[in-house]
Amino acid sequence: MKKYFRIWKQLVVLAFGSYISNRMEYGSYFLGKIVRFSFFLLMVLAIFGHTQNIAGYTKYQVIIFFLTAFLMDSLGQSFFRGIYLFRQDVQRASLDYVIVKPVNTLFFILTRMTDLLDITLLVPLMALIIYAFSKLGVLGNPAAIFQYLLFVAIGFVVVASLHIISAALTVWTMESEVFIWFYRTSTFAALFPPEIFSHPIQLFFTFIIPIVIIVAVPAKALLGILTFRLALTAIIVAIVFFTGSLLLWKTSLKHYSSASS
Amino acid sequence: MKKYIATIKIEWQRALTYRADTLGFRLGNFFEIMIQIVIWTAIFEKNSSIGGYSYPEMITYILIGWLISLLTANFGFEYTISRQIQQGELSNYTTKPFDYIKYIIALSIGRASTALAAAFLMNILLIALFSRYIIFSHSIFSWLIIISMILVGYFIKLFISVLTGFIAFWTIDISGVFYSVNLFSKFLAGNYFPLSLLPLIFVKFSFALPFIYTFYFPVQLYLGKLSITEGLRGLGIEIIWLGALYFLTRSLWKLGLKKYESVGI
Repeated sequence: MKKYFRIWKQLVVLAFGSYISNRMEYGSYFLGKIVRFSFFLLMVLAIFGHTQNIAGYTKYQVIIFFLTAFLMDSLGQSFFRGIYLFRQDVQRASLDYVIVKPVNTLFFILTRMTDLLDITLLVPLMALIIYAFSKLGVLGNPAAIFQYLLFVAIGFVVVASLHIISAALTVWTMESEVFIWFYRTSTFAALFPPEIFSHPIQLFFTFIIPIVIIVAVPAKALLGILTFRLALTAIIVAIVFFTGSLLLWKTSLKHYSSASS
Repeated sequence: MKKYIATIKIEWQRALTYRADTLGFRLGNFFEIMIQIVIWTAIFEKNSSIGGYSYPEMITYILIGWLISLLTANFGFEYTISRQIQQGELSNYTTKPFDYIKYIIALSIGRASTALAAAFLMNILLIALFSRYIIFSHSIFSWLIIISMILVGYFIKLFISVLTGFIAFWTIDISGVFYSVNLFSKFLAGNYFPLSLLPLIFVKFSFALPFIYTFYFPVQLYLGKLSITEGLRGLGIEIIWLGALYFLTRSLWKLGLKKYESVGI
């Protein structure tokens, strides 16, 4: 464990060095993320300028879903940015140089580009979440906050699993970065409560692209409306996805043919 | 002319090599559009009008707007150009007897036409699915202006893409700039929601830039929220933007070539 922490720390330092060597690049991404967040927040606020609720949820309740979606997206981006470079590694067979290293290949691929920029953005995001907590009157409710954090952690496991699945598919097909973009497109749906969707679509977003587990479950836990059934489903889905993704990864490595090295 | 047609054909073959990617991105677009429709459907359940839009107008805004957006899309030229500059591949083109900007235009036609075929089919399917909600415009003049705006909008987006790629003459990586420009252009074009929902200052700011003419403006014309005269004025402004961007592209190309070191060969 200590060894992997040291490796991770070194990878973070190297990634940071890479980002900071191109300040224009760094600044542009930072600006882009702020703009994205601000415009979507403006959209939600603008909608609430014309309506009192969406699918029965009030403004700050919807904002909790919105902020949780961005929190999970930022966490995934912060820790697993390496996945976006993986396709090149497979196509150019530079994955060979990773496989022969005395470190878990999957760990290296996922964490080699840990993005400090996104981690920095978590600070104002958490501040806004705390502000939303205060507006909802849950700041003095440690049980609700604990449940929220617990299900954020469970959601994070699902996010990690999706990134692992993407890596596995990329090894097989050499063109499956699209899976992770599909997931990230779906997170647009997670900005709002899942009740706006029909039941079949909710099922799809619970069991196939589980953004309900990632975003809606923590938000509902905070709001005190999480049912036992959904909580149990979240835990089971997280376990199934995580185990399945690791098995898929292991299988995909057996199919790696190191073409073009 | 033959060499540019050959470029288009090569790009078709390249695009068809990675079919899963093309299909995947089209499915992603489909998802994005469907999610917007579902969200607005939920919002309109309790409201007959939001920001001056009725439910049919909002559905039409999304579907026709995205169709226009897909018809004017370019697909990652920033990366193609920046890679050619940074890896020295640009030297292959500067030593050949053709104009690089025209080559890029030919490449974009090849790339866009394959992606467009899939995108167009997808959008037509969505329009068919929601046909009972969509408002169909019968104004031939509006259609003529909109088609002209689509054509001009395609080249505006292409030149913005090329200009972003040309930044690679002066910097190591352009992905951050591309990310920001892409985001800005989508938001300021009104891809995600009608700009009229935002405070007036944002709308005025959007009108000062060319992006609004690639989505929001033509859809407003389609919906009849703008007159033919206003449409023609918008088209005129769009053409001026096109001229300015073309001039900037040519100027930056000349400046960039002076900086180009052909590193990477």
